[in-house]
Amino acid sequence: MKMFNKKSFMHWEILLVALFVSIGILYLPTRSVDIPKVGEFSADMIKSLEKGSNIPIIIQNIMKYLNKEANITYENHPIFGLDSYCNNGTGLDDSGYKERLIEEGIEFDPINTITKRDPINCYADEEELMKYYEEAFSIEYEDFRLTELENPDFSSTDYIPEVVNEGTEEEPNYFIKLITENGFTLPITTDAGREEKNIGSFTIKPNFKLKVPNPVNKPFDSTEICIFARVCGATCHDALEINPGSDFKLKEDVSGFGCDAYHLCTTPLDQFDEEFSCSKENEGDPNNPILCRGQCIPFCSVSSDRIEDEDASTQCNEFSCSRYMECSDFNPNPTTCGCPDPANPSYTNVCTGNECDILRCDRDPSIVGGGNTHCRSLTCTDYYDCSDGGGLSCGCVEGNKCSDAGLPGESCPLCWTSTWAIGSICGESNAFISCNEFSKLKTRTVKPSSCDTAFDCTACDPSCDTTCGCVTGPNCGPCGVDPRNECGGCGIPNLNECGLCPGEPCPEPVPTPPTPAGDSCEGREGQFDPDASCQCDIACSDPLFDDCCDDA
Amino acid sequence: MFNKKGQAPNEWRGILTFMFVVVITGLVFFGCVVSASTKEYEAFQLLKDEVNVIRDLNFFLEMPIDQDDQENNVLDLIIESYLSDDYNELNEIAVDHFSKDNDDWKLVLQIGNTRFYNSVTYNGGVDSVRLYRILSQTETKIPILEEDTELMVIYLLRERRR
Repeated sequence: MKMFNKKSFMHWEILLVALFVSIGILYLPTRSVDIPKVGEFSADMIKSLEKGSNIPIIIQNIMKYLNKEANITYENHPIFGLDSYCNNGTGLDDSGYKERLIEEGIEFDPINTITKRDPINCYADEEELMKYYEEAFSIEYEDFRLTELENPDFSSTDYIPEVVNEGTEEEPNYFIKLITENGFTLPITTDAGREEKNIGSFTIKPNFKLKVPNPVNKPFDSTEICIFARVCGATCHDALEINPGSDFKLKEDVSGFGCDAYHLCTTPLDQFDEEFSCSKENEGDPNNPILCRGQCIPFCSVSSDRIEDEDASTQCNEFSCSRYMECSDFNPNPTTCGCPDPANPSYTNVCTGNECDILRCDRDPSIVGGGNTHCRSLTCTDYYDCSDGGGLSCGCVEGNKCSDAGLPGESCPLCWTSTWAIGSICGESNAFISCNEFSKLKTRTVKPSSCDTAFDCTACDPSCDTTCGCVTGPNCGPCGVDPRNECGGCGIPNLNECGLCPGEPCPEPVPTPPTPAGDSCEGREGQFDPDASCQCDIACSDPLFDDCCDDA
Repeated sequence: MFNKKGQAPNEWRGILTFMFVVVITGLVFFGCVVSASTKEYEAFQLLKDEVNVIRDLNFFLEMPIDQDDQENNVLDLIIESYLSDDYNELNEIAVDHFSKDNDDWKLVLQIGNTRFYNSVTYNGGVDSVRLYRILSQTETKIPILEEDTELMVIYLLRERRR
């Protein structure tokens, strides 16, 4: 019993400590648990919804701007840059192109750079133009979507534009309806607790109806487009009608070459690079007609498969007509035929005459067979390095056909004989013989200006001397203006031992003076030395110099 | 008996001490609960004010400038004012609209760190954090597409003079 009483005493301080420890143990784990407060999510949701309620007004503002830009884009739409021909079909020469487009409702698939619409009508009126406005808006919207806006995010939201006229014909009133299927998804967040959390999302699909001012330059109600192209049915006759006074003309396609069968003639193409379709519609139209542009006359020469010239005397020549034998210019501005001939593109000269195929040998020496041809009054062999050109394809009005295979320029030259008379002794240096006027060169020192090298002149000396006949005869022959030699005889005089004419006394011997310095070949090379008083070795053996040193 | 009687006061003292500590602890806990509830209430009140400010700003932005012209609203006017650097009309409409209830409001237009319009300073007042305490505020970002898609931030604040 005593023991019992002792045990029943309470240790309050221990109990207190235990109480606080227990509270602490309970508090600590719950501290890290983020328990939302009642109503907190609702409040955050209200706040998010309220904040999100201004999204439509922001989007509307953006759409207003895009609508404004779309108006500009529409007015600059490439469709307005296309060739258009909207005649009303009431004129005298009016083929009623527009009426045909409306009646037949022709469509085609345009290239991407014109429009992304596919297909499009060849005729565009108010309804069609409103579609181009829709396209312009879409272009602006797609461009805007590339802008990175966080809120609202347009990247996944599509808007389909539709332009409508809610006014009357007299007073049109245009609107653009912008309708989205997927809308914008906006997050609902809460910043309660330690960090902002996404607790849900909501979607809004704001649609808009904005006023579209009637475009100033291309108003919907008074603009129309009639695309002028073959794909829309434009014909050759339409092309002639749309281009009055132009050089467009209908020609006959006789050989399948089209307009290439004619001189200065091209095929006009439409704006999509296609030929216009042609058919014989009128009495005056040629058979199998094609539309051509340009002078479109026949070629002067006979060209295979192309249209031939009616006048057979004309032809296309490579060179000017005056270079041919009997040939002249057809006409400075030919109107009945033209050159060049497609078969010979370099034949650009329009010539007429009986011998327009034969070149004149003396007009252009380099044009026949690659050689140099000439017409010479004398026999060809009378000229330097010149031969008879009888086989050449060129002709001469007067004289002989000659040919020279030498260098171009100076060919078949007539040696310059007028200076040959300057000289004294036949057959020696600086002496010439006038009797053989057209012979080849006689000496090395006198060379015609047209002869090409000194070697050639020297090389012909022997033959010259043998044909001259003046060097060996004892009597003065008919070979020169002054055939007598210095001793009064003819030919080479027989000099005595002193080198004087026969009968003349020899002078007293004079002591030979010592060879002056520079007159010896000792220590010198044998090249020509113009400063030395005598030459050695090769220079000495060259007959040109003839002043050898004593020890050469 | 003496011993028995002598033990009783010790026992009572312990009980009383324990009860005292428990009561004090309880009071502290209760006080914390009341304080937390008060804060929560204040937070909800703040949230309510904030929602109201958001609603006010949205209404203001959507408001048509002219009753005859439903196409253009205040948001259009804000952009137009920014582009023309003329805030007179906007200021007039803002003052008319917000000053109906009280004068403790402030409308600010800002791009980046540059403020283009501050209703307080525009109307000759002094805008200072020493003078005013912000009660609630909201902001809306609108892209100015005419100017390379700059983001303009429109602030609406409710303030109280300190």
